[in-house]
Amino acid sequence: MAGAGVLLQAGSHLGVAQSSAASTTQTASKALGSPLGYLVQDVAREAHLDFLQVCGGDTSKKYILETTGSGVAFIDYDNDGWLDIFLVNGSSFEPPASQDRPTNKMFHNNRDGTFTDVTAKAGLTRSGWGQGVCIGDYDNDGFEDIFVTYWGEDVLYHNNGDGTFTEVGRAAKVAGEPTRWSTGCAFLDYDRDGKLDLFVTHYVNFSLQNALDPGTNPYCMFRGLAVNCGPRGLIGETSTLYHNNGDGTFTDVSAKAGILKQSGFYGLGVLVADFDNDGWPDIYMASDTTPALLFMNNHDGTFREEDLLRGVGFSENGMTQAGMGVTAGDYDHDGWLDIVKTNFSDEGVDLFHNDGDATFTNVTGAAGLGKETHYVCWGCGFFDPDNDGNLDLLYVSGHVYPELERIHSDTTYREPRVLYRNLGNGQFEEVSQLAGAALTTPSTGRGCAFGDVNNDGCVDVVINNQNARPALLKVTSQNENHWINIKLAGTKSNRSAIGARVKCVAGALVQIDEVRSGGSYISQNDLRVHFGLGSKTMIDLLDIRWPSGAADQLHNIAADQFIMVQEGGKLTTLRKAN
Amino acid sequence: MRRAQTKWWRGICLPTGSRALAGLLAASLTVPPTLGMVVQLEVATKPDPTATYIASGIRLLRNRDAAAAKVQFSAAVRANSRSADALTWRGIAENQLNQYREAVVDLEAALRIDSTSLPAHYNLALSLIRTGQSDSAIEQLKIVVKAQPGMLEPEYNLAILLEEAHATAEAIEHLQAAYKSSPDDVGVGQHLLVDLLTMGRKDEAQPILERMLTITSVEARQQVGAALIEAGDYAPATVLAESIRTQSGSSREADMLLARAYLGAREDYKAIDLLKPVEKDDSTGETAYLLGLAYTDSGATEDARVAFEIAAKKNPRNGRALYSLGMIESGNPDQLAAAISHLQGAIRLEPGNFAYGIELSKLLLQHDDAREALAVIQRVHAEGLEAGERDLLLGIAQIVVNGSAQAIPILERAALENPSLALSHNMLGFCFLAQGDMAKAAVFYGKASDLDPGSRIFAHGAAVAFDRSNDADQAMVYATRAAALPGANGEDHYLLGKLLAKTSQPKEAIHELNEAIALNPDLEEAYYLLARAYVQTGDNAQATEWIARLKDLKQTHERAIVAAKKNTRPITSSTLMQGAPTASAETGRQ
Repeated sequence: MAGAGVLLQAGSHLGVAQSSAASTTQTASKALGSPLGYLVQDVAREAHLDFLQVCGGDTSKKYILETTGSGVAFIDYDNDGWLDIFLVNGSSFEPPASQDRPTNKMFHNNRDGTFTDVTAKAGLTRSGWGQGVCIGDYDNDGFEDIFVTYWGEDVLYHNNGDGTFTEVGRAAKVAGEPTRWSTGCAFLDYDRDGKLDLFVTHYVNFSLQNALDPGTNPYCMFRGLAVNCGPRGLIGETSTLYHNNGDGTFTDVSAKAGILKQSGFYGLGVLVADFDNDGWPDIYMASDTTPALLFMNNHDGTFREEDLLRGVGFSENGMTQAGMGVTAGDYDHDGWLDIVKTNFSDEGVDLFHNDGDATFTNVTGAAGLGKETHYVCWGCGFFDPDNDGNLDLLYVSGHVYPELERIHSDTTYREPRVLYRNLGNGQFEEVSQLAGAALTTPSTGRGCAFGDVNNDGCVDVVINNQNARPALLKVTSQNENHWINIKLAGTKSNRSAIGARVKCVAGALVQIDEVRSGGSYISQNDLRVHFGLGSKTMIDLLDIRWPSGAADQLHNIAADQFIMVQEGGKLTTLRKAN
Repeated sequence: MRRAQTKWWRGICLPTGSRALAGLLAASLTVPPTLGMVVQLEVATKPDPTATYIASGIRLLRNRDAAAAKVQFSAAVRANSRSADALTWRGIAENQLNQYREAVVDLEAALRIDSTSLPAHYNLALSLIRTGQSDSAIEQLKIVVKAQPGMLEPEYNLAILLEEAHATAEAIEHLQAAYKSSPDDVGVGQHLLVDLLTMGRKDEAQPILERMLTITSVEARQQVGAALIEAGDYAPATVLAESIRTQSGSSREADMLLARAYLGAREDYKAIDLLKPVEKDDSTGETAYLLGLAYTDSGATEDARVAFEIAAKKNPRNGRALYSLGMIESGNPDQLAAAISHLQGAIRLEPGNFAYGIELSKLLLQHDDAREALAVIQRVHAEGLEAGERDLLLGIAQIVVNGSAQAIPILERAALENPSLALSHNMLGFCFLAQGDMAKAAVFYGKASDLDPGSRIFAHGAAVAFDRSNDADQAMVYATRAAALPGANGEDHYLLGKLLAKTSQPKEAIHELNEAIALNPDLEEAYYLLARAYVQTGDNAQATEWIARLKDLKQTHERAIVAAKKNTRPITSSTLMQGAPTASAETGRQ
């Protein structure tokens, strides 16, 4: 295909998304205020997720490094079909209270609702200012590997396949500079050569030697309060694209790929998806207080950046926003992946509707997502907790200035999570209160990941709260809706099948999704693809487009089971619902 | 328009300085055949105990011993319970003893016995007035004047009651009847003159005014002049006051009357010329106060301030002077503290004066002291339309101090009390917007704009609110209105452009957005939407060009943006007083 990129087509609408017209799906609209159809409970304590995230001070934060928190990953590191949890930890400038310095943790799923800390056993003990995490089988050995970003050297953990990991960041040449601040990351096969490459973004050029104290200049003030400085006023960054050489090493191809053309931004959440449905992964990146970036794949190893042209860089009115978490999903069933980006307080979240061909319209207000604008929002995800076939939206919140509590302003440091239900007509309804304390209890949310942790057919959520214990929101169905959970395994494509596009057709219900690394806020969702099917008990068609370019169609698949599909079309039933 | 002070006397209403009680009693005792009350003081061939008691009571009344007189009249009633005279006289005594309810009972009983008794009707009218039954008192007096038309006192008193009931035309009829029989009665002439002028019957008023000019009593003429001034009839008041001064020479009272007439007639310079020479000699401060008013009307603000200051110094209890001084000072930011202090002083002196509290509250809100404004406005009592203004200011103060949720019921009340106050609806729109209820916000913003279609800020707010509640058609109506108003700015054209783009009219959108940028080259959002509109038309080259310009502009604005973001403050009352800000570019969160 020509490398000139895709021309933006005339007639692209700036108007409100014509979702009802474009949709090929007939999904019944939900009544406002109707019961959720599921229960949400925070079971982190019962699950023995014994972890305390550390990220600088809890009552005051002198430097911006203490505000970004860390990510979390769902990963089935031992391939037993059960999601394990990897929580990234930060650090502090104060000496720790005990001998033990805070460390990342890996929790093995015991399959009974509890987890076991296997960090040491797995060789994953590491302390530092951990930021984000992404998962991918970079060496195609059948076991998911882990990449963890840091303020400092990044870390690549090779999964040895025996429950242990080996740190190979430097050897793989992805460790980066020891003074650099990496945040969001994602594995992707940008050149479709069957090997997972790695995209890493960076936040600010920060060093303790040069760091300014709170209140030093206007960039260090918030509503008259002296706070930590930045990101504005600090030196911005670029992103890094590593090409997988196939031999356990990577090459930095940032310049060659055109990634370095964009500089001076503050990268956070990274989202890889095929936005223009051309079979090649594109990269959307949230950037704090500078325009978000959209790298469109030119199919020749290079990218072109077109955020402003495609309408995903700014707010609806052209204003720069914060930009932390990102998620993609086809919320209106028109066959195009839409984007949600979370932002700072008074900015709200952004819902960018994909009008087709990766041109977007900000439909936040029109879709009813403009109600809550008070919070600083981070991790987010489209998911289908009630399995009705419509993607709902959840995001977590928490301010960056604990000092706010002192001035009794109308913005607090700890903030609730927000849940929006998709009404099926292009509109969303805020239902946080209906979900109860698991949503409404204020906390300091940062990274969050989505996945069916107990294999009951309902997607759950794990949250890495800053300077606090994590939350594990277990979703329990209270309805009769059906679902399907699909693990893809590439053969010619990368083993993780990252980048594979799945179209699920069940009667009039047509849904798409992709296997995706990264996303949310510097976190990693379950690599399995989950579809809610509503009342449908049978999937008429699963259409899979593999990163290699191959395609498989499977027909007449029963709902309510966990299946694996190997590239080439081989389907294996893994289990029924737990 | 205020009526001349009318002094209610014992007995029936009498003009100030006119008849005394003795006169009334004398009139009763002499038994004018017009009233129809006959009192036989001579004893008949056979002594009648009832009559004896009555006569005794009358003598005691004459000696001003109403209590003892009542005892006699009670004895008369006991002697003859069917004596209408006895009951009537006892009623008269009870009126003098302020026992009005008892008087009503007795006089009504008298009328049940003798419904033609004019004294009973007449005195019952007084009792009814005193017990707050003015309408019934009017009915009683009408009976009297019907039976005895043209009688001065009943006609006059009936006219006063009718004036109070705003039945001015009917009052004139009775005043004319009284004037016919007593053309020299100053009270009648004064009321008739004022009423005729009120009804616009200048031709009929003229001869009465001319007659007033011939009245020898300066005091009486001054009284009439004062009544005309208070009624707002400044032209005839001026004529009268000038004649007084011409004929009787300058005196403080004459000068003050004339000055007030000049002020009312907007002849400020005449008032100044009159008052200036005599101000120093007036220790009451009243001259200085009037001088201040004259200077204010003529635009000599500083002179006015000095004059009011003098007035307040000479009479620290002059609430009006303090109020006027405060209002002058409020126009000068350097004198804000003094203005507030003086207005507070005026309120302390006249706590019931609604206007003082309202103006102080406005001043405090305009200078972002919402907490103090809240304290002041909560003490203001008002009714009707004025209550609407009070509650509007209260609502604005509440928004700033306690948040929009608490302000909503107050503003809803304000809108009910005075539906024509556009700002109340605008504020409600702002509150609902802050609450996230876009649909309600749009309704109220729209109403504000419909009430005041010339307000750009109201129209703009309505457009933004309807846009956010996904009603593009309505949003377009108000955006078009805002953009067409004088003073429409870049924001207005930007908003219209945005809506045109949203409704798939990119060419029209481009025109409006270009207009927006021409008016405000710093409007980043217009650049952005212009680029998006060009994308919509397929002109990627132009889109790219505008994006490049946008990036350059953002760099230029970098520091200002950051400073604004970092120092974001909650909404201020001074901003709200201008109308709710709903900048289409920002959430406009409170």
